Amino acid sequence: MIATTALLLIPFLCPVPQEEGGSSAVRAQATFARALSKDFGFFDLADKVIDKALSATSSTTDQNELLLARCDIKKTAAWRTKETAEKLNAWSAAGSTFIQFLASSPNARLKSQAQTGLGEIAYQYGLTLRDYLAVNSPSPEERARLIKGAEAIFQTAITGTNELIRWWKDLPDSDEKNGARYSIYYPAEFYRALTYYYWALLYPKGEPERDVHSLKAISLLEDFAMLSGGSSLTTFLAYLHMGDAYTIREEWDDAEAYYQYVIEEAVPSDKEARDNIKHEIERRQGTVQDAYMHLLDCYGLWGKSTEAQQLTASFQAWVDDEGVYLNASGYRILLASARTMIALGEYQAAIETAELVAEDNERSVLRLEANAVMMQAIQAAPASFPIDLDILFGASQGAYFQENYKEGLEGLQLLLTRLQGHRRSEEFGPRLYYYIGRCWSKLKHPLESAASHQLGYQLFPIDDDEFTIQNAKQWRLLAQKFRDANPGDAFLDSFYGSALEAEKNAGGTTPDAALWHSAKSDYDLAKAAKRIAKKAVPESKEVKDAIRAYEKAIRSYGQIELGSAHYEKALNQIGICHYEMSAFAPEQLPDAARIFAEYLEQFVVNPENTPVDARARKTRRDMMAQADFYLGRCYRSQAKAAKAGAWEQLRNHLTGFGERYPDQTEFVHTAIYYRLESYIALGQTKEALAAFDELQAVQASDRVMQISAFILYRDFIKRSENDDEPTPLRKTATTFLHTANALAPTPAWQNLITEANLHLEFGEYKTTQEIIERVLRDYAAEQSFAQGSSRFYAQLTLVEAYLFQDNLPAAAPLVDSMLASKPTNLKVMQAALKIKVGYPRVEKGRVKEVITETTAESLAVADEIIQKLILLAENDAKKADLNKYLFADYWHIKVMQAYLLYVHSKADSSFKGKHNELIRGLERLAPDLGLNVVGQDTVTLFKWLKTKQ
Amino acid sequence: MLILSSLLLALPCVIPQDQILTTSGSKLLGKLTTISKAEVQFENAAEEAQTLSAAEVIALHPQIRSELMLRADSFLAAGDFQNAVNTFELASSEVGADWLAPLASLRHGESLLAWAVIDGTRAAEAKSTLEQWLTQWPDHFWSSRARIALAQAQAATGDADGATAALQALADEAFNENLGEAVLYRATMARCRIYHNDGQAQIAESRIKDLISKLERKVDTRETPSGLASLFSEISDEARTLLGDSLLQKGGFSAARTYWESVLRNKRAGASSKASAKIGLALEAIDKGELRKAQLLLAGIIATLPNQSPAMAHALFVMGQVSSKNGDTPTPGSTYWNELIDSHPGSPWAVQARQALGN
Repeated sequence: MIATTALLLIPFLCPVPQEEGGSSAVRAQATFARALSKDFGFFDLADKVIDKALSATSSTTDQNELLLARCDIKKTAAWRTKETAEKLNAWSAAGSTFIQFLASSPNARLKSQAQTGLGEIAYQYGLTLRDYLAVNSPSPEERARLIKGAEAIFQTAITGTNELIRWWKDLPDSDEKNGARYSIYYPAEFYRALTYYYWALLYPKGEPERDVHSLKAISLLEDFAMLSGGSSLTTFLAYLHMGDAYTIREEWDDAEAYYQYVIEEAVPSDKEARDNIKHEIERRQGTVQDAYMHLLDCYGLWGKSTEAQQLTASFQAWVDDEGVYLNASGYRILLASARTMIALGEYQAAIETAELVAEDNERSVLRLEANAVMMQAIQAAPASFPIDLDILFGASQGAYFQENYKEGLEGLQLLLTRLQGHRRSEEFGPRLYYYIGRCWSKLKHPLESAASHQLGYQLFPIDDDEFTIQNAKQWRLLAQKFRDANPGDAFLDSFYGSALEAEKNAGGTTPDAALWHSAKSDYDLAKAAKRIAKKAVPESKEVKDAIRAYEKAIRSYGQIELGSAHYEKALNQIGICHYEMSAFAPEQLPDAARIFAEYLEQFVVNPENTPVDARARKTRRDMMAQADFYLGRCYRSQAKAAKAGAWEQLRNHLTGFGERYPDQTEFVHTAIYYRLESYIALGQTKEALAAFDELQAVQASDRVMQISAFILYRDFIKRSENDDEPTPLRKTATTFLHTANALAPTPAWQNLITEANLHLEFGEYKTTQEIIERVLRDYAAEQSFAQGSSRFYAQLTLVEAYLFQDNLPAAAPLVDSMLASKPTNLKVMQAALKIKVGYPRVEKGRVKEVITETTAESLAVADEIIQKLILLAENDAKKADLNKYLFADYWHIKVMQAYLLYVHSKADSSFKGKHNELIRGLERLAPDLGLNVVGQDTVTLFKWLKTKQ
Repeated sequence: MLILSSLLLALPCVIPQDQILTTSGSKLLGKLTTISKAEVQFENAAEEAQTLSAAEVIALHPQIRSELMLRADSFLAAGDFQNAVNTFELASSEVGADWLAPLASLRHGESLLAWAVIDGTRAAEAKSTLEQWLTQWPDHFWSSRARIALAQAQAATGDADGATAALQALADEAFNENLGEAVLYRATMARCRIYHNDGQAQIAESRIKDLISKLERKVDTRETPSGLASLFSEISDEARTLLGDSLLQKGGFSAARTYWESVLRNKRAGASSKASAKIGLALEAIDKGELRKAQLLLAGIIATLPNQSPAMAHALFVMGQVSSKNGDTPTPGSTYWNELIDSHPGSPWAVQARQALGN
């Protein structure tokens, strides 16, 4: 019925003059979105395209263009839905979208398009509703829901078709009117009539709406039949649907009469008449099949079994005589006959019939119906009845490949009930369980999937059977996932072990590959345990667990035998396990070293172990590099544990590593680093620096460069502490520390501050300033920096840097805040003094005066500070049991005091000459003015001050 | 494509009518005319009158056209007991075939009985409805079905002794008056269930074992017609499940475990009893805290058993419980409960699932 009636759908053109559409860009996007849904079924993507386009436009016309495209996308989605109940919902959703769109008052062109679309939807919705009600008896609640959704669609569709009909009727007689008669007017009349019929279907028998709408449908269809006239195809379509309308009214005789008329007259027997309608014979035959099907339904409801029998016979004869190609109705007649066969106990015939229908209709809903009949046949047949498993398995497997996993699963489960004792149970058993497992996996039920594959293997462990192997493999894969997700679960460990054993026995994997997988899993678990144990104390549960996990991994690797492709890797891994275990159990280290050494010195050189193919040669190369490297690591660990001669051993072992394994980049770089370490430990500075250059030359990673630079910094600083000429060493140390900090993705603030202080030491004030400013900015939130005194000292260093650059304005706010928080801190007060007053300093033998704007207030504060500083200095001298004139700080403060008095004198004449008095006083008590205590610069400053009046 | 006309040629093509399942395994179609305790009369497809003794008939399935009956059945399947009961009651007053009123009334009583499993207060109403039915149709073909249902209702009201006595009387009558072995063994099975539900585990155990043994012998006997043999296999499988429950009731998990393991090895055991055995083992594993083991046992059932199987509802419920306890991994417990409610809405397990979901 769909094929024939759908004729009327095709030329449904827009009847109103074209109006200005949306912009070409928007129309292109709308077209693109439609194509995505129609051609590819990418509904979500199509929706996103529309969403994006909507957000980019504010034009109402453009928006409407896009919203209509969205409606079409929903319509396409509904077309593609197969299962009837889902299809009904999809049509309902599409209809609602169109209704909402129409309610937004779009322009006439778009409105017309939407009305057309809604008309089509109403029709399709009705068809689907009819199919749905044929097999379902909805509860009152469900029916109420259906009515609510459908009524809006039908009412709006009828409004639309009424408009179209009115429009056509209002047209003056013209070519346009004639042209639109068959393309718009007839379809509109027909759809309107059908809509009333479908509307009537919504209501149960006895409801007045059913009566009213079905009568309306009959009346409109009658008018339409007269309109289309004579023996046109559309006339017969009208009669067919009149039969339907009479059927739902239970006016059986009338229904029968109309159906019979269609059956007898739609395809004329007269040759001349047939020739005239040659182009549409097939469509008419389709209408006849529809009439047969509907009449059969009618007889079923009427209770006319004899008539039904006769009708089926006549259908059969007609099909044979005419050589008819079956349409959906024809196939449904076959399925109805299959159901009868089931009732009569002719199960195999029913299955074969259903299979025929399924094969002919792979992509349509008929396939689902046919499979349902097949399942009914199996369920109805007694347990002892022989069922052809091929057909049924084929149907279920077909459903799986078409991604109808639920349907496939039902069929397979039903087949399973037939399997016990069946002569072909071994042939079908493994594959049934395999596909059951795969269906569950696709339905995202991994447990059920795993259980199916497990059962499939355990019940049918057939040698060399493809599906036995697959069941074992899938079981193992799933068991591995469960195990990895739940480390330490003993049950899942055991489940995995059984699965692995099964896979091995099934022959789906080589034994050693399976063992390798298992050992690798154990090793991964050991590493995980090691991470947990890292912060634990020795002898703790975590450490013991980690050791046990490594021991298990070692045993697993140990099961891989000589001759296996994984043997050499396994040997190395055993060594690596011992090495990693030594973090908690140092006594493992010699075992690790021994294993690597034996591999390199005995195994590799043994001609019996020569690799036989390219893959094995690659493995050999890789494993030699790994063993060589790890042997070095063992020596390194021993050296760090202060074993005598270990550093030399490390150095000698890793010398030439790069030449031995030039392509093992990562190992090579780390080997150079280890050598660098050994050179430092052995005091071979030149060689260490050469190793650093080597790392740069090979473009070692930032990480390797960073740690190399750092250990060089540490070495140079340490040596500077004992050297008579520390400055060059400290300068070199600063360079390396700077390199290390620059290469660290997030350098430690402590290292940055150390670098800053070193730069300060060498007069690189600007660099100091930049580093400290960075630390204060970037590490402000870091607890270890913010809460301790480090921040304060960093600020002090920054102040110093500012002051050394004579940058008083930058220093002032910082100093003020530091003074507020630590008013008695010596360095803060000294800095504050400088800020408040200014200060002189000696630069290349000449005095430079750093002047600042003073106020009475700042001078008063300075006076206060200076007194405190003097007292502090005197106290400190006393504590140090020193005469104050032999205390450096005292002289520094005295210079500042003199300068302060000088600054006072510039503003206040009462201070005139006071600074000179102070200096003369000092000279009387210490004629050298502290030359031997603080150096020439201070004396220079005093002398300079004396010249100031 | 061209139709394979041979398919249709072979077809008598009648619209299915009333069905009569016989002890010989055949399914007869026709129009039921008179049905009594002693015999079933019908017209076959050729409209010829036929008579079968009741002992030859396992079940009658009249073709139901009544919309009320169809609706009532769908209410019952959906677990909407109130509407099912009301609609069956209405249907019993419809005018139609002779069997319509007794069937509708019987279904009315049976739906009350089904309701009583969830709401014990309905048991008394079920009992009185079924008593009325028997008063009205004492000699009907379905009277033995009604008497079994009545005994179940009686037991649900607390009178287990009365119920078992009534079922014994029915079994005796089935034997003495040749009502058929189907009646005999159905009555016996119902009696065993009442013993179990009443907590009489010892008696239940011995009666069930006796029943299973008899049924297995019957199935093995070549003289047993295939239709009866199928029925006996079904009843014996039901009995195997019940035996496991009784052993659990009597001796706890350790007593039942051995039995369940034997069911799994038993080639005679059907899918349903094997599923119940696995559920039992899963419950034991849960009791021991072996949640993963329980999950995998249940997964094996859910994965392979057809959804409409009686044990499936129970399996889904327990799987929901154990998955919830196991952190809702890998599949949340609610998934299983929702599946249970969708697929077995009328089952007592679905009621518990709704409670678990907080509905």
